[in-house]
Amino acid sequence: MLRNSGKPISEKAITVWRWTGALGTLVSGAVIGGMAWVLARFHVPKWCLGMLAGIWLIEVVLWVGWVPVLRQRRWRYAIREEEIDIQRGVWSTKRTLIPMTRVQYVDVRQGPLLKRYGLASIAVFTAAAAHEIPALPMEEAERLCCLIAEWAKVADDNDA
Amino acid sequence: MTRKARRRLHPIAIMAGLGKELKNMVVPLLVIMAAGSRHGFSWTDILVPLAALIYTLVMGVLSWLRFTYEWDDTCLVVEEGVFVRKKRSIPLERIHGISVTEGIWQRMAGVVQVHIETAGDALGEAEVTLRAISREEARRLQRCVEQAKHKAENASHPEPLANRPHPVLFTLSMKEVWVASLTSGGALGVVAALCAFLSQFSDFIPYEALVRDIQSTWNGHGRWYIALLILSILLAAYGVAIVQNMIRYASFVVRKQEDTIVIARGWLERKAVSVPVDRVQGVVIHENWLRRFFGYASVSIIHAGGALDGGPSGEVVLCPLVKKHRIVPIVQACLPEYRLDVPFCPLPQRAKSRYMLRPLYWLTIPVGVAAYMERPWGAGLLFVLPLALWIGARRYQAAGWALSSKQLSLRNGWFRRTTAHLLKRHVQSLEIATTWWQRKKQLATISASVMPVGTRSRVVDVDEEDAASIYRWLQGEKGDQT
Repeated sequence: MLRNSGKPISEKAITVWRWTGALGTLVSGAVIGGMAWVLARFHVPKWCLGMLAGIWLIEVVLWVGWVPVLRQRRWRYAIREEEIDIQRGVWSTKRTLIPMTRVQYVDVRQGPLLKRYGLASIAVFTAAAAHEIPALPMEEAERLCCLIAEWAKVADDNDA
Repeated sequence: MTRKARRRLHPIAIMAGLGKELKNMVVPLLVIMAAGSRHGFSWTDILVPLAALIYTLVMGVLSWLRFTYEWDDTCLVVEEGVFVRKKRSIPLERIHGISVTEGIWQRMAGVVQVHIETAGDALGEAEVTLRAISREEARRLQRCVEQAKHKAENASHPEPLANRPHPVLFTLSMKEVWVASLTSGGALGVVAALCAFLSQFSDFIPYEALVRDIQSTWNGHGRWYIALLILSILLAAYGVAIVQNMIRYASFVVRKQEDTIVIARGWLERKAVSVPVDRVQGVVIHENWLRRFFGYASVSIIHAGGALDGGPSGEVVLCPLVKKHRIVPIVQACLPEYRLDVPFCPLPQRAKSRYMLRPLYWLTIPVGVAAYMERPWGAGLLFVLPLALWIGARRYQAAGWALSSKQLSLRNGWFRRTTAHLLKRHVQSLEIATTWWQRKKQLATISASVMPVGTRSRVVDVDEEDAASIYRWLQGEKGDQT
């Protein structure tokens, strides 16, 4: 099988994903709470409401507790002169290969959360899709962005 | 050629544009009128439609007046816009494909509509339509584009302009047009369109009363009549789909002119699509089960651009219906780089049970519930489950992959078996995904994406080692660096 040769992403990613997970569960908590309120007005049996609360609790445990850790642990990226090799995924492990010749352009992106932890993500665009490497240290992200741009250009020249 | 004066489209373009606008307006306007005239008719009811009509007419004429175009041997320049002037200039060698259509309006005036496809369709500015220009002009534009491309490719020796006739690579006989339309399965599309159309009128068709009537008829002796009615509606939809396809595929001709594939087709509306060979990203062969039974298939090419052919984005039909043994020579002539007669590797035996069980995951519960609700006769529904198992097994047999040094081929599906052939240099990215269950059986899903955005082909449950070898095939030779 394919050997795993990439570098891991920053460990602070876990914290960032915990925050986004918490925000997401707040939103879905509001939705579920609303549903529970409506159901309570129709005198639905107690265990139904209990089940809704249980679903929400499971969601919180998953998205705040467990998934961010697993996700960070699974992430690997390798950037080589001829290709970008990405491995990720919690439920299903995905391994993606992007030949350097196909790279159209690269972005460094930084949202408010990422910025707070001194992180940035880079997005690699091909003519078919965008691929993101999330949560790299800021300097590393910028360095990689330049590197990919450089190699993508060189590779393009060879191709033509 | 020197730059000519800016030119306008033939005035019939106004009519063609208006026709299209009005067609889109009819249903909403009818709804507005019907909603307004609920309490008896008064002249104010037609005020809104009238205003809309006049506005459209004026805008139609104005936008025709402001639309000008010109080209020289490097650039096509289009100016348009009534309130906001927009000037677009497109380098000729950047044009990806041209399709020439003769609609009903255009035929009346003896002109053609030219649709031009360029790069960068993510921006939504990829297309230019010259709604009515003379046929000679369209031909001249095509020739200029070809010349510009040649000049861009090999500046040293310009190829002589070929006016000799090009050999026809593929045609459809009238009988084949008939069979292709018969087996294309477009009836569902027609029914869907009909439903969408009827749902617009829900305001003033009393559906509830209709349903009540149907129920009482159903409870009486009328259920055979209803069944007959539904059957006849389906048959009529099927008939409409057949006619649509016959009009679409009539006089289908594929030619190759130097490095461009030209596909001409259509009866009421003539259409010629030209696709440069170097823009082709892959070859896809579709075999639905009905056609496969008679030994037929259809061939499309993936084209790096928008929907030139009105079909799904990026796919252009090369042969709507063709005997399987003819596919290889035809594609060989059009796209010599592709090898279609590659031996396919089947999936490992341990994938078979997964394929067979997969349809059951989402079928068992609804079928079980339905069988329970309609107890004595509903139990017949349970026969669906073994059928699903059987289809799963067929899907397992159909799936496979093939790899050569330059090309990756992926095949899957049973109802509609799809075989995609992709060249290595067109593969934009390759993904290998394994779920927990797949890992236990050492299987993986491979998917490859090509241009345009969202075009990907995949095969589920390939042997892990095979997936790894496909991955390595796309990988470069050099070792690790960061």
